[in-house]
Amino acid sequence: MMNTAKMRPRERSMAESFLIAIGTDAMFAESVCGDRAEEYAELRESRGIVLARLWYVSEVLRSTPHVVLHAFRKGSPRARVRLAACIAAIAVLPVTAMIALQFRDGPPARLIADGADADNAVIVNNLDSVRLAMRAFDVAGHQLAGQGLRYAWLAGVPLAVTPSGVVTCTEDGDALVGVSLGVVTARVGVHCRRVKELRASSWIDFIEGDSARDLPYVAIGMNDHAVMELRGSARVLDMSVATLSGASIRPRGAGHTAVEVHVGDRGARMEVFVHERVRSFEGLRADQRFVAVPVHLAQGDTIHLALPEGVFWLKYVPKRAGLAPPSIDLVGNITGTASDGLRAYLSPLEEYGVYCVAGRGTSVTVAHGMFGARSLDGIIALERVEP
Amino acid sequence: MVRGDARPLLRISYMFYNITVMTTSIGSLELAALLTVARLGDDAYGLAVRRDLLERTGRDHSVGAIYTTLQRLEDKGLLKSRASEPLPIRGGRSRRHYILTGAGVRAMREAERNAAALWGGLGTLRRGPA
Repeated sequence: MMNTAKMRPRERSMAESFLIAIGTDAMFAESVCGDRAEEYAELRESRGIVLARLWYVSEVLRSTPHVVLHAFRKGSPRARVRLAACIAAIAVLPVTAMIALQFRDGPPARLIADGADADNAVIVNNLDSVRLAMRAFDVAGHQLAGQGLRYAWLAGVPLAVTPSGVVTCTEDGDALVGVSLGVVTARVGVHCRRVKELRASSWIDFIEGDSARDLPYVAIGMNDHAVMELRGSARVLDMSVATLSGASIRPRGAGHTAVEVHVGDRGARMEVFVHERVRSFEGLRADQRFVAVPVHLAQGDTIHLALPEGVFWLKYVPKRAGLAPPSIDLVGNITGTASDGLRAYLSPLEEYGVYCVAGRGTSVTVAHGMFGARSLDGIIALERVEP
Repeated sequence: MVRGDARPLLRISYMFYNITVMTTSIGSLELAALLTVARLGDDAYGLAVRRDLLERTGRDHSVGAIYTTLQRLEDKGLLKSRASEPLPIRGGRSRRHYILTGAGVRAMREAERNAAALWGGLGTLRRGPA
């Protein structure tokens, strides 16, 4: 039977405390550690301290499975949980080490300019200084921190480059910049194409089901000509109304959103309206804020569309750019920002619109005369202003 | 109804039978440890048992293996133990001395009888190859 001898005031060793902590009983721990200590002392005397220590370590390793099993059998539920946690922690260590080895970063092997093309060249449309961002990779393709990158102008048009990679284009043309990180070097082509202005339509009008259209903007360079090599970004604020694909915009659902375009250090915002296709403006529901009626007018045709009461924008958008607008007249108790139908307001190009405050019984008359194009196609769009 | 009640009883008795067998049956290392404790008499503690087994069987068991075996035998009631006075060579720890109980002695004899029964009729092999 278990001897219940009185505990002596002896300080337990770490090994003994550990064995007790994982669930072995105190007498078992004392016996195991006592035997090890006794044999270690004898081996140290007979074979030296090195062999004694080697024996001790091997003995601890050999005993571990037996001690763990004993602890599981004899330990309390809490001690078993502690033991399981210890085993899990020990198992996690080699796994962590393997993962760390697998994902460790090696020395830099490649330098690639951010946003560069296949020739490692970047376009700079900025008038102000801009940082030439580089990415450093090791042989395995891991991205490195990239601290310590050094930049210098090598050839081409004059270009101000600081050692930390801040570039200022002083004239348009191509330059070559050298970048180094330790022993790794790279050459980056810098195409300076400065943009001084971004001209864009104030709004883009669609009718549901329209096909994608290029974003209506032009980047103007220092020589007042359009710049064709551009680097920038565009985003649409509400993708339920329209989506972007490269530099094209496609309508998705009726509503209003905006597109923001940034090129170099210039930006532009375009309002986007996608209109619901309707046959007339009569009987509109309150939630129908963006509606449009397609119009097709042969020579001599005239159509009348009743307008709702309230405040709204009324626009005519030709189907194809370059077509002259029809004759458009507002009839009845209606006040517009111009008295000359819709023609007074031109923005963007090819579109005609007016801000209206309409009373009851108003209408718009659209007519194509006997001259000009054989027929006119477009939409009369109505955008109700929220109260 | 009667048949339904009888089945659990049969199972319970079978379970007790298993427990009885488990507590009295011993493995080969347990038997070796039991014999060593009997041989060493008053000097039977873990280290001495380990060394005796190494000397007689050539197998170097770890301290952990020896003590878990001795404790199993104690749990089965085949051994009992007492702690010695603390010893400086053990870092102030006491030795744990084991002695056979009556059940332990019976278990040894039963193991001997079983071995003899198994070896019976194998006289030629017991004498070794010609």
